[in-house]
Amino acid sequence: MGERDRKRMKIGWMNHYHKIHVLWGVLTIVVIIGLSCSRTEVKRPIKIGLCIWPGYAHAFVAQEKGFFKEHKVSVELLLKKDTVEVVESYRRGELDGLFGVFPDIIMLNEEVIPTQVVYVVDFSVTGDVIVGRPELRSLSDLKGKKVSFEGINSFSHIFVLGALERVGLNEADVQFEIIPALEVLTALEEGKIDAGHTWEPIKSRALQKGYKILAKAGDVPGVIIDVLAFRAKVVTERPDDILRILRSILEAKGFTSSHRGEAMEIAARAMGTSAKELESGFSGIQFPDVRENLKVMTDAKGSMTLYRAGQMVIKFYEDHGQLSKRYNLHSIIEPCFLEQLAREEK
Amino acid sequence: MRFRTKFTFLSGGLILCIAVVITSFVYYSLVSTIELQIKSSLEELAHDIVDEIDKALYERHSDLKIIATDAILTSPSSTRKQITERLLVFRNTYKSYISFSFYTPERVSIADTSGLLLNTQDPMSPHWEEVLQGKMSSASDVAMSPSLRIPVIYFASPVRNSGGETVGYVVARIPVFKLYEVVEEVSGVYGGDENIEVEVADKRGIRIFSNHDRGTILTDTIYNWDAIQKLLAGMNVGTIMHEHASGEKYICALARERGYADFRGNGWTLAIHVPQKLAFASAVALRNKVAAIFIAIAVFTTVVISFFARTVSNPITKLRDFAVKVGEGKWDEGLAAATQDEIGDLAQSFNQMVGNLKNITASRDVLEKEIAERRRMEEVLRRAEGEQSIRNKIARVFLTASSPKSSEYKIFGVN
Repeated sequence: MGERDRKRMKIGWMNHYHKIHVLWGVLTIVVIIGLSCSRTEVKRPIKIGLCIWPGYAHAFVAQEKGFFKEHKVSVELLLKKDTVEVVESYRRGELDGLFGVFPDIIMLNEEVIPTQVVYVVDFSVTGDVIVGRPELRSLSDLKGKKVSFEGINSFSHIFVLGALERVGLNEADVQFEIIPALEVLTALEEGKIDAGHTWEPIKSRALQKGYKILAKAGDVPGVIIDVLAFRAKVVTERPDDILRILRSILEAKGFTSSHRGEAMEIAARAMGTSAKELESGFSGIQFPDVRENLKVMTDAKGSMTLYRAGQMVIKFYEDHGQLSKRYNLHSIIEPCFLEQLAREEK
Repeated sequence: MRFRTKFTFLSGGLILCIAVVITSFVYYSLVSTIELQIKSSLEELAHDIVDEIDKALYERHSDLKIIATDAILTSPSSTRKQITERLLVFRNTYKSYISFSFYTPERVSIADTSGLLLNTQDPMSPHWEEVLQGKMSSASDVAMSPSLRIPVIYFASPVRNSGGETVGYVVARIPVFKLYEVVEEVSGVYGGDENIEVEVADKRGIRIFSNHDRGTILTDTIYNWDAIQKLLAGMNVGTIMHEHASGEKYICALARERGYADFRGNGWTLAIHVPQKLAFASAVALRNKVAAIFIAIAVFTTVVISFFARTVSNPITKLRDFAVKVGEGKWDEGLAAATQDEIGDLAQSFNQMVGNLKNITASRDVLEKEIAERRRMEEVLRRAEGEQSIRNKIARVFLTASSPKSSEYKIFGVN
């Protein structure tokens, strides 16, 4: 055997030797890629339910102007008929989050659907009202009359009962009817009710027809605080997406300030109402900025904070026999996203 | 294929085969053990949850027995407002009811804590069928409330005056979600893995509670209701393995309501569905760990064996190369014995053999040289003898020629 043959043989032998190690290497890479692929999950859009309410206009602006896409988050906004339908859809597991009212979020937690508030959208001052027949002079005149709210134990129920209690009326003094806010005017006209809880665009339409405002959200402070809330699981699993959603909404809020007309047109189109009615609703609500929001969500002692409002709502539910356990509001209010946004603003 | 490769693959393959056998054995042994444990613990959990539900329903049943004897409700002189306020006290005190109503014997609502559907006649329903027969209805009717528009559990009782005459009916409603609190408190399923599905069916199999699919409450039967009915015939607990529509396999523990004290129960069935992949997760984890350890051992062993095979094959290769050189007549290079084992001995023996061969070959060469020399000498001698013979002959010729008879011959030379 010549030197060349031996060298060739050695190279062949080395090839065998290397093949084993290459084989193990390839197997290892395949396993690693396989494992990493199995953990890669295609992110589904975050479904958020909302109803017609001027305060939620920013969400539609964010969608229409592509702010969600810009912030690389996939969001599906699902417009429902009323807050009850939004909550029911959320209860059934069809939504990841909702634009809703704080008392409803507390009740969802009571129903063992862990839900966390991540952002305060607005405070209703004159946006929510109880409109009544023209002949009624005040809420006191509702004794023995029929008043509507949106759903049992909903924020609407609390608002109506809270307003009545302020004039010394309780549940035994009044009859009630469950009617969605958007159908209140029709119910009034059909004589089904004497007064009912509603908001824009029904508020303006009712006033135009001579109906009277008997109570405003500001009369029962702390009850009607609109918030953005998500399932606790979503908050835990997709915190980055929630932060992106909040950035998008804040950008939409900025856009609304600088291009009010266009923003109103966009939101009105999405909600199936008119820009004028929406504009009118806008004037009755307060939108906290990031700093105010953070204060509302973290300050437990302030006058207008979620904690204070939450305690009032919880007490109300407890007094009415609807809560069976004490709630730790820290588990319902999650300010970490606003803290991050506040840091970004500095 | 070379020895080293063959040896490495053979050993690696053998280890992998052993690994597969041991891992499979461990896994399947564990799965059967875990399955028994899981079935037992799930049945126990289902039993406990049903017990808690029964206790909670018994409390409500007892509440209503007391409420139905309340002086204001039983008094014929009580006003609508008085009754409503009394019912509000009950609602606010007991903290379990979403509303109370008081009905006339004609099923017309005259008082309601929610103030809803007053002065209207309630439609006939299972709870009305019971109370109109003079009996209490305790959770036998779970339905969508026409006034509240949410699913509720009905408790109803006739209200009788001191003479035993029925003056009306009191109806209490508990939201179905109150069952979530009971289930949550007992099982902690919400705090645990959300893949655990808990559902409760009424005696017809209609889903009245689901921690997973709230949208189907009161509209669908629970999973595999026919099989569950067969399994629980004459039994209170049991377990079945089944597949949901999603294709996922589940272990399902079942427990039937038995009642508590004088609350007889309503034949509700509780089902806890645990995905098999979750139930056997610990076994799978152990299997994966064992497999990972075996793979690591196999890799390590293969590398070690590969190096070991090299220590065997390298000297053999050197021996082969040396044999080739010896074959080419290169006697002078020796073979170094690198190891102190049989291969080292073989190399030494080979060296010795080559040395001996070298010596033998050297002796043979000397002999051959000697033989060749001798042959040459013999040839020389033979030639010398031949020349001598010729000389002798010539000498004889010369001797003969010197005689008169040989004068006619002439010699020219001899080589």
